[in-house]
Amino acid sequence: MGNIESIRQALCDVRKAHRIIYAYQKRMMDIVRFIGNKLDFPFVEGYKHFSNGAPKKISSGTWAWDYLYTYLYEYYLGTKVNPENNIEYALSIFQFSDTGFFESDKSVRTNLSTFVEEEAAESKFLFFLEIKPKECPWWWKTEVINKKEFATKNHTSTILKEGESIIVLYSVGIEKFIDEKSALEVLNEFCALCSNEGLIELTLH
Amino acid sequence: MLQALLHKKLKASFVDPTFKPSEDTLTSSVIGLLQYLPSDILSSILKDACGICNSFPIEIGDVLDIRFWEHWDSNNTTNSKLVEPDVLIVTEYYNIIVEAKRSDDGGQYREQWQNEIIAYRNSYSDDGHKLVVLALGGNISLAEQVLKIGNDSFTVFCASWFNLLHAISKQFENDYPAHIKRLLSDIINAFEIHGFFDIEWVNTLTHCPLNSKTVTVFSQSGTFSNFYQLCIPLKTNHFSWEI
Repeated sequence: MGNIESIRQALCDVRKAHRIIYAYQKRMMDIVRFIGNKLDFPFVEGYKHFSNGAPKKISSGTWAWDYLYTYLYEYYLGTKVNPENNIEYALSIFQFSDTGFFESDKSVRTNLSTFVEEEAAESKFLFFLEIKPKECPWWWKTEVINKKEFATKNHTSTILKEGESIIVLYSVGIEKFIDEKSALEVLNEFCALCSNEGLIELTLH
Repeated sequence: MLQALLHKKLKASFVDPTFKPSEDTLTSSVIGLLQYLPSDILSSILKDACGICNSFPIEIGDVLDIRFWEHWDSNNTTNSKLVEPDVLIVTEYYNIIVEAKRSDDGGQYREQWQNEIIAYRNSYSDDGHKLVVLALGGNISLAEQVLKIGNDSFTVFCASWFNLLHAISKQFENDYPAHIKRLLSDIINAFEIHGFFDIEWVNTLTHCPLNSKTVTVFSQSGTFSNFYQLCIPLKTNHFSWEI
């Protein structure tokens, strides 16, 4: 009977967890839309990362992670051109709900015990901004965000040069989006990073 | 909503008899209620909705009239019969043409703004007010734009419904009388009927302790399956758990 009771309590936690995730994810979508509006990007498209999306037909290769879109999700905000019409830039925001998998070198996606403890991980946004001359092709290898140096809680910002493209990677803890004032501070810091490095002048709308 | 009803714009919205939100019901509900706010609050909201560094006037003067779906003379426009802007806001100092779209996803275009400015000038004599356009919803970019028509320049301010709703919600931080707050609340409700909800920030996410052993309960292969035995497979490809 003790086991039945622990299962019941666990299932109660499952219900709580689902409701927490709903409340959390609504806020994530609100924040991303706010960022898109403030940086004046045209739209938001979403892409799942960390595993495949949930398939219609469940097979042995289907993971539970396939049903959990919020673990690592990309919001692609589209492309823009600078006022001089010679530079293009594109922005994605990656929602790392849990960096725990990425913090350890020995993690296995389907074995939660190999992830670092929840308290030792972080929930963060990673801004991925590519800037290039208009006539050059996009680099846009977003799989780079899976690298430990960018995916973990210790990452702050990195600027990569890939061919003619400049890639700005900027990490910020989700707790920084506590309210609008804080959110604007984050965005101003991001804009200042891009400006101070002589990359692109972004203004908040 | 009342405006849409008065102008017979609700035909497509009451089907079977389910209410189907539309561009016109959204415009009618939101701007139809905004018009009852004091002028200074209305102009503050519109300016905030247009973004941080916009040149939307801080002071538009008293709102004298708000007109919905007027029919203007289409002479010299690309419309053959008439031009019908969504709203005309007449204030002490400005005439504001509002062109609204159903969502924030796209639909605004320069030619339509141009037609509306030309048609307005066809239909109204110059009253000395500055004429501007507010493109509400459907903007690919929220940066304000300038339209040149002949020797004259006109500013087009671009706002999203999302930003307008947020600007209205922020007004609750002010110490307004109860009737103003009721109006603001009704406007927010009107947005929600049309699928627009204001931003919730992380500061409203509440901590809900979970039992740290829960993951273990499900992860241990023996624990859960003590109670749920794999039954003999049916003659299908599916496995079933028998309770």
